[in-house]
Amino acid sequence: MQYSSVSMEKAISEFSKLPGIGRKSAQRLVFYLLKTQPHEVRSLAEAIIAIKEKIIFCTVCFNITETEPCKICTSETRDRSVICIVEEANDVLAIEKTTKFKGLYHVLGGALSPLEGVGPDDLHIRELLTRLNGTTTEVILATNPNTEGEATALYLEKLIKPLSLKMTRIARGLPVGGALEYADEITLTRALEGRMVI
Amino acid sequence: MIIKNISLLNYRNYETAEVNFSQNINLIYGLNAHGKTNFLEAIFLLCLSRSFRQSKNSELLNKEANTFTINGTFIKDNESEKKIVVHYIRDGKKEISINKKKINSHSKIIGHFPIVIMAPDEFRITSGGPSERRRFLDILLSQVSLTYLADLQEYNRILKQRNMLLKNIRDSKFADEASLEVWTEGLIKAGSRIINFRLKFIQSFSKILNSIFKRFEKNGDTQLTIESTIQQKNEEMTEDSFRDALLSFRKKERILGTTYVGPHRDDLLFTIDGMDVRKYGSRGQHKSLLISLKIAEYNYLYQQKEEQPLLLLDDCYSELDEMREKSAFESVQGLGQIILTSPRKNILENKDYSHRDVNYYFVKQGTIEQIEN
Ligand SMILES: Nc1ncnc2c1ncn2[C@@H]1O[C@H](COP(=O)(O)OP(=O)(O)O)[C@@H](O)[C@H]1O
Ligand SMILES: [Mg+2]
Ligand SMILES: [Zn+2]
Repeated sequence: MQYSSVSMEKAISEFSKLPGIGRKSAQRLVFYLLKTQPHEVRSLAEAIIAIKEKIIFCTVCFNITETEPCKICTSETRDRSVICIVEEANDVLAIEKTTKFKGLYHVLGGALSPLEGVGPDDLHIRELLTRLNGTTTEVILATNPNTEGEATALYLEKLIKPLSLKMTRIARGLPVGGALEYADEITLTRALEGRMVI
Repeated sequence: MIIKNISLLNYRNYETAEVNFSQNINLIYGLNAHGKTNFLEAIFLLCLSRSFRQSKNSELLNKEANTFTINGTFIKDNESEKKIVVHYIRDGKKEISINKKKINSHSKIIGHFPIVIMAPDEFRITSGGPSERRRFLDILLSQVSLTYLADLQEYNRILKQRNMLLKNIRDSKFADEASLEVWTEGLIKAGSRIINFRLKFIQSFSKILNSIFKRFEKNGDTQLTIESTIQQKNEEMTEDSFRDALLSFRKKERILGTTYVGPHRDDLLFTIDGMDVRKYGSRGQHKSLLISLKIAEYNYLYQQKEEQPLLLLDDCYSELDEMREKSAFESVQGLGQIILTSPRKNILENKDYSHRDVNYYFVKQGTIEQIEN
């Protein structure tokens, strides 16, 4: 059924574009907002706009940030000789929560997956290689422990090997097929400690 | 293991159905096309989370409905009770829970509820194409070994990725040899584990099969071997021989955009006295072999899982007689729980089933009810 308000229709159709939200859920959300205090709705709208206006990707490590370069890349206290390579910005968050890792990150922006049309050129691999010519002595391959993450790690391993840096792969023992972001802190801490030299 | 009860909601031609089983023999009877096989299929689905008829989820859904639910209670040999619920919403994925806990991986269910099915379709194992035989192997070995199941899932995923990349190379979308190498390495690792597991299994299984087959054909010898697309030496396949085999298809792979060698192309060879049964077996030989194969499957599964499998027989009551006459089942009492279907109610009468209680269920147009003897 169609609503007689054009704005109502527009809001519902915008919400239902979001992942996991169908028309029914969209209707529920819009009705909820209709009854919510104006300042709360405004604050939500501003938060949404800020996603695009304020949040950017760090041009060094490709983590999400509001400053350029990001706080981790510019930090004085981080160990600049180690780079931990992850698939997504969420993974940085998961590893940061363990407070065990003091080095820098590099966010690839995904994993190799021909089925999804993702090849090496679609990931921030070239940028990684330029970074590795600097102060880096060690890299940690912390892509997800699933099929695509393993393939990506192997790809990077082959690329990085000639640079003769110390290279470690985050140990398995993470939930199989589970993304890093869902791994609990203990498993992640253990995995970081138990990483193997390749 | 036995299944104590089951209930269906909007599954195939059943709107609602609810049944308690005997721990011995359960005979489901009724006219053809009224829903007997559908009922067995639901039991199988609880144990292995897929249809033995290789149907898609959407085909299992009652034509008038948008969700189906199957609910079943199992009693394991250690007497623990497991309630399995399979729930499906149109266009979604099946959701499975065991004792109210949602499970997120097949490995939590496959192998925990061992099951063997004998159905007319199963004759394709000895007479159909290679994929039928791989299916037989994979279903049995996945129930036996969690690592086999994990390797298989990993292999299939890598295979899909690699084939996609080969297609891209064929269509010169991007000729990315470096990343192809990575998928190839993964394929070799997982694929070698699968092949070697199969080889080891076949060695012992072939002997079990032959000893059972001899009860049917005293002077016949049956042998089961893997016909692999990869050469192997000394009963073991090395990663190097897999790599060599891939290398010899290098050109062809790039022209056709698909992977030519590996466990996904392997076949099983059944022979009787050296003759290829797939090609030259008589009707009788196919039948004796399939029954032997199913008994061997049952015994092997029982022995490996230390859990008595559930036996489903779809329109195979004459086979049940032969099984009982000709075979020594591993367990002391013989077979455990059996659920079988037949168009007629009286097939078990005048036979030696009196020491076991038989429950009867009448199926009619998508309804099922227990009938007093
Ligand atoms: N998804 C479905 N929805 C409704 N009816 C179905 C569905 N799938 C199969 N059927 C019906 O189930 C019947 C076949 O049941 P089946 O169990 O194979 O019969 P049998 O008793 O001969 O083993 C057919 O009448 C078919 O139309
Ligand atoms: Mg039938
Ligand atoms: Zn940064």
